[in-house]
Amino acid sequence: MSGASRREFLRAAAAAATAVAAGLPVPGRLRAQAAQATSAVRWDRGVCRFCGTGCGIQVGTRDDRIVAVKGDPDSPVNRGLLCVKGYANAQILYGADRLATPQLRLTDGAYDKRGTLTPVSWERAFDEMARQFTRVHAELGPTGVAVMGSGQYTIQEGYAAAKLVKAGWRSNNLEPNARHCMASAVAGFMQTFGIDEPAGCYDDIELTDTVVTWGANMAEMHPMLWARVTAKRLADPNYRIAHLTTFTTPTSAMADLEIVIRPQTDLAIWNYLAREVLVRNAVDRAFVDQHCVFAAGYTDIGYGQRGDERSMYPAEHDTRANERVHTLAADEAVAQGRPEKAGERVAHDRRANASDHWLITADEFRAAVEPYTLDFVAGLSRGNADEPLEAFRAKLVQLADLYCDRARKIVSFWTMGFNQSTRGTWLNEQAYMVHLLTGRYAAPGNSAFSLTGQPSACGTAREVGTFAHRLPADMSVENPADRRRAEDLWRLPAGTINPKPGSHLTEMMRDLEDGRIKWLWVQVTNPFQSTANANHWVEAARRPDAFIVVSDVYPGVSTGLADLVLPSAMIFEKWGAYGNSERRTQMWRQQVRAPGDARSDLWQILEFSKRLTIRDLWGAQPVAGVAVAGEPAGRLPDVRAAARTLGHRPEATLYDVLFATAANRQVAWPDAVAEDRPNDTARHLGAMWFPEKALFEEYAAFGRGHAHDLAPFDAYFSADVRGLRWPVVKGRETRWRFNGAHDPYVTRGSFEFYGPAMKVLPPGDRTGPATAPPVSLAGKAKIFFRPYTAPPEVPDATYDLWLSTGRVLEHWHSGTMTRRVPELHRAVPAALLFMHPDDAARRGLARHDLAWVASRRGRVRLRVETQGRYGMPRGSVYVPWFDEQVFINTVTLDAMCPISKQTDFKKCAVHVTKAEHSTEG
Amino acid sequence: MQDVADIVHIAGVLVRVAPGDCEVSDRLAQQAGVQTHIDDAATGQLVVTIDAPTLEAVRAVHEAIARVPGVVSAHLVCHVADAAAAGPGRTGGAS
Repeated sequence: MSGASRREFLRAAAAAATAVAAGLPVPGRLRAQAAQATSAVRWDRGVCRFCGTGCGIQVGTRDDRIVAVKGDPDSPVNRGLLCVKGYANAQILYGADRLATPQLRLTDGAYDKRGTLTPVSWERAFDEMARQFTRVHAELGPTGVAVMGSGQYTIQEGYAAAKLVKAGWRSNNLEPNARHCMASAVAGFMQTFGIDEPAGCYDDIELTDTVVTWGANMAEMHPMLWARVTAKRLADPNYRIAHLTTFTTPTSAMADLEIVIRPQTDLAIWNYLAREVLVRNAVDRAFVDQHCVFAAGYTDIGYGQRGDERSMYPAEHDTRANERVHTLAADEAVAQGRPEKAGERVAHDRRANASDHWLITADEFRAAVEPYTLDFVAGLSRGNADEPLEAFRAKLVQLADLYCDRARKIVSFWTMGFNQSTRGTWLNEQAYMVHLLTGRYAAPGNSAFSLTGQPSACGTAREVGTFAHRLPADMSVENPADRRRAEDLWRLPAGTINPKPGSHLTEMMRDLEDGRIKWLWVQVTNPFQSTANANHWVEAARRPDAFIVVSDVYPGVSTGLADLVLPSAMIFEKWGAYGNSERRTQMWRQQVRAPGDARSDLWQILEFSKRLTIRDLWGAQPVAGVAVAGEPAGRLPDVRAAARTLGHRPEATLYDVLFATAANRQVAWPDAVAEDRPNDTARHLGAMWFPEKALFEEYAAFGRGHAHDLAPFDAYFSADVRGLRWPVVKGRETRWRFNGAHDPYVTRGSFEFYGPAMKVLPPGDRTGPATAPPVSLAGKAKIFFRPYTAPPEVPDATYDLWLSTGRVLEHWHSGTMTRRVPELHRAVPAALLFMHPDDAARRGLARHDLAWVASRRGRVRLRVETQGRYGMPRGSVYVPWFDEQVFINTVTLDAMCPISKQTDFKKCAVHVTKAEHSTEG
Repeated sequence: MQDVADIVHIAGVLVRVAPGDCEVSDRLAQQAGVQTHIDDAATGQLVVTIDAPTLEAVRAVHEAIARVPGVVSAHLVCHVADAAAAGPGRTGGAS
């Protein structure tokens, strides 16, 4: 075939695929040409590498290279369509600066922290990694070492990391970057329902009448779900979209109701809605009486700033002081219904009990929301000073109309505007509060739903449990029964698992700076760019006694700080599984080989585990603050003798004991499900077993029978399957959990909130628990009262603007992948400072001028944008964080939700000044 | 990442048009490298392909399509990067 005719045929192939996705008949000529053009291309299903939507794609491979990507028309998620990042699924593999060999800092051939990153063999890389591990472990014990993982880990990678760190190292220092994006959603679920992950699913988009987005710019961040929302809006005149945001976004364009709010006042708006539901008699009394209880917790819980202040900058102390002893604002005094008056100082002395909560009565709840009148909340929460107060009030009333009209079905969506808040857990609980009060949750078209930012934040970070306090399937290291169950399933001696949670992600950075962690392995994430208040963490990585390992696919801020860089295989260069926001587990096969010496993260975990023995790690170990019966305080027991009775020799490696178990070695590779595709993880391990399948099945045992049931591995590769939403019981997926008509785990009644955690509570009132005996609330969900609370740092005379940070459509997270794709990079080459033209003019700035953005913690220089896709109200600026040249996380504040430990990247105070030489650069 | 010189990029894009607007197809034809394969008036959907020498050019054309009057949305469905199709017979493209 000539080039010209081949092009014609390829166009026919692209047209035919597009027609199929659109549900249009494909003309015979197109079909014939398409078949010829793609005859040498081998297609297989995959899942998009980027956000948490989980769009199905088809990957076309020829000569060991991915040459085509198309939306999977059989995917119920995206129905054949893709957003602009869809192009990148193939292109991200082929960037010119792809990491393809291990690199170690050397001077004259020897490891030297101040040396130059130099290519070395995997053998040499692992030798140094193990040597440094042994050094730090000997000095600090299990808590001196840590792994920062990812919501982009495959399920198998996350599971292997959890098993290595928790069972092998007896450290709980494993955290996913999902701590920064999902932790508040997790905590909100656990506290409200006693189990994690949403009740509903994407089907609700078409089944509802009403979509309300809270701190979620869906048009840019979840474009394919937004396409479903807007398609429904165009087709259904009764469909309504409301968008609550702190500035105008592309999502505003399709919204019937855009409400621009002042940062943090979403807390007050939810309570206004709850109050309206009560006042307007919109409560579903039968639902509430049968399925819900009312609850409250402490108010003065702080903001999660660091405890050890030795390393803090002088300018940081006032924000921290405002956390310890907080001066009540007038609004807070009203909103919290407390005896203290505005201007009084109150100690945030419940920081250690932030997640404690107890039952209150319905009357107590009603009294608590009573101050949240329209007048009060409108005055507090209007975000755009140029909008007349009356107009803003009218919008709040319209919002209340939507939530109180029980003839309507309603879906609340939220993302980082909610979850990244110093009260992120409360906000999640407040959304459930209103949905539960009106009986509109866990039913078709009625949902309150946290949209995920990462492709497997749900499947891996949350469900596997790669958090410092978690074990698989919602279990906790703090719960003796959960530890025992994990030890049984993992065939570990009793007492192996450390009962003390590890450090959360930001705390790991603080530990690194303060010398409590000295060995850190980073996988599938870029934490030195993505963690707030980053100047500290850059300094931390440079400590002479710290050893930083970074596994990555492209260079970035974190690899630049690494002492050892390990090149990773990515997405279709390995087997994997992701779990999306709606509990849908999707798998893919390895399609092509990774470049050079790049190897999968799973291989790296398993291969490194061959270098560590139980003799070295399972003796008595020091862990500060741990209390184990029969052991001195601060010590984990020696379990080596017990290990021997289980058949584990002292010299057995962690690979032998944890991964290449007798059961796993029965799962043979090659496997027919591969259809002759490769598995380089198995090949490089020299294994005759199938690691991804064996580890998936091993992991699935935790959830089966516990309302987290996953299907057998092979089921996900069935021709007619495009992922399955768990729990998968008797081969059937579950669309609405807790709903008796849909969820096989509901044993009685129309709804049952059967999650087991935190379901025995004492009674009390808004001020605290009573001494009365605790009460069981099995099967019920909690309607929390949570008050409005000001953030720890608000604009003042010096730092007079709010700073919010986030993503843009074209880039994903820290940009290490998408910035390699020229179309995406050139579309948005650099982060801009979005601000109101008046705010700019008042500072002598015009569009495209260079400006400094400074906080108490750091400053960056970037160009001003007063037009474009974001409409900033006066007083607020926005900076995307993908651009490592504009390292905005050196400016942001590492305050967080004290319950979820998720950082608030959306609020801190900055000042903006004109940069000199503003015409340069 | 650098585009490789001897690779062509072809994208299939589903274009949704405002109901009753029959002239979008003509307007699209004025975009270099764009070919309309199916114009389904009943559903207001057009199936078009973009043929361009670089991925960046594909993206530029894709954006241009989205700005054509009467276009409600333009979703990517398929993207092919093909080496064998490049060469002497090369035609079209957006640049």
